[in-house]
Amino acid sequence: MKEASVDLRTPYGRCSLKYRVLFDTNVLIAGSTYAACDDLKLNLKHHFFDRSMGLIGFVKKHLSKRIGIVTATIEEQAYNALERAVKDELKNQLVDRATDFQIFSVIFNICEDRLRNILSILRREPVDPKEVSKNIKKVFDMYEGLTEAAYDLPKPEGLLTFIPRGFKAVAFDIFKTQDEIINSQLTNLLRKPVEISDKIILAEAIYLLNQYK
Amino acid sequence: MLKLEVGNDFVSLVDLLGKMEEEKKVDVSIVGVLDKLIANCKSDERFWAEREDMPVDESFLLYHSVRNSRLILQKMKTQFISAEKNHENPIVIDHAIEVAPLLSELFQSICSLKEQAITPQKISFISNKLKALRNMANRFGMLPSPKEELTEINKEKLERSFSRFADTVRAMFVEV
Repeated sequence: MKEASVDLRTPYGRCSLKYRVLFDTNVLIAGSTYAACDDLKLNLKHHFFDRSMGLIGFVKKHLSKRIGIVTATIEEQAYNALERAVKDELKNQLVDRATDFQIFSVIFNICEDRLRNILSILRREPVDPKEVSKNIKKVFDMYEGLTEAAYDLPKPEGLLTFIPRGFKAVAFDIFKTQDEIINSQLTNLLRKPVEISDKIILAEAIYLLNQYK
Repeated sequence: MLKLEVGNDFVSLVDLLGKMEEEKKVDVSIVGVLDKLIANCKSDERFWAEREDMPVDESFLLYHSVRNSRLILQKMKTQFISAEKNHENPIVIDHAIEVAPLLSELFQSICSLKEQAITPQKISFISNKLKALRNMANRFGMLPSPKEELTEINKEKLERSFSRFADTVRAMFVEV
């Protein structure tokens, strides 16, 4: 998304970029999942914390350019994701209620505080519900098409027809691995259908892209 | 009866804050009122943590809300003690007046759930109230810092729980 102009120093000289960055929930959550305390020699973080903070730090450094944007739906999804993760953990791993409740209450507070701080450097963009709902229809159609394409993918067994008998086992492993790598995004749709809130966020992103074009 | 007593304690708090606002002076008797409310919160934290007949996610959210109410009350108490001791400009009164109604509403809503059927709507209502309370408390420096919260708990257990939590969060979004 274009608009803000930021001067960057690159190995090839200075350049001026014009853009906006719409923050998705996973980046917000990765940047929020962090607990550190020097006194306790504690440094706990999400696997993608450093990568997320690279982007968040950049946006913070150029705060006046208003690069980072977000929508109300993304904010809500991020808060809900933290809450859901805490509840899932308690449901799956609860040993001692008094101790575990206290620990997860602390974790929840710390991550929520970080999320609040990250959101404070992003601009919440208003979206036109009518325009977004038009995009939602297109997004739903797109995912329906992709799901059908995932069902129609050739199965690794089907590719063995012209392989000599002695090589079928080896070829099957290769086709299977290839299938998993190349088609993982499509086959994921069958295992884990896209949530409605994600489709709404994509529709909002399309709306904002059109606004900034 | 319990609900009424807690309600009275919050009425005492709001009345005292109103009096202090008029006089523009910190009345140290507020510490006693806050101590009573903090003790009520501690007792309710135990109550919700021990409710093994309830789904764990519901009892946790109620525990978490009461615990946060206590943490905010404790910060408020510290600010009043500091303002009185250092003869500071009692801006803490104005801040407490902003936070107290949200605290009172949240705490009494939770108390009422002791005698009512708990529905997802009620849990969602409490969750939203808590978010509003924490946002307001944050504006006035009435939330404990991460360091203050972390030093309260067992480090090894925290490390184990946090790692699992980080993995769960990651699995929610990463497509493998």
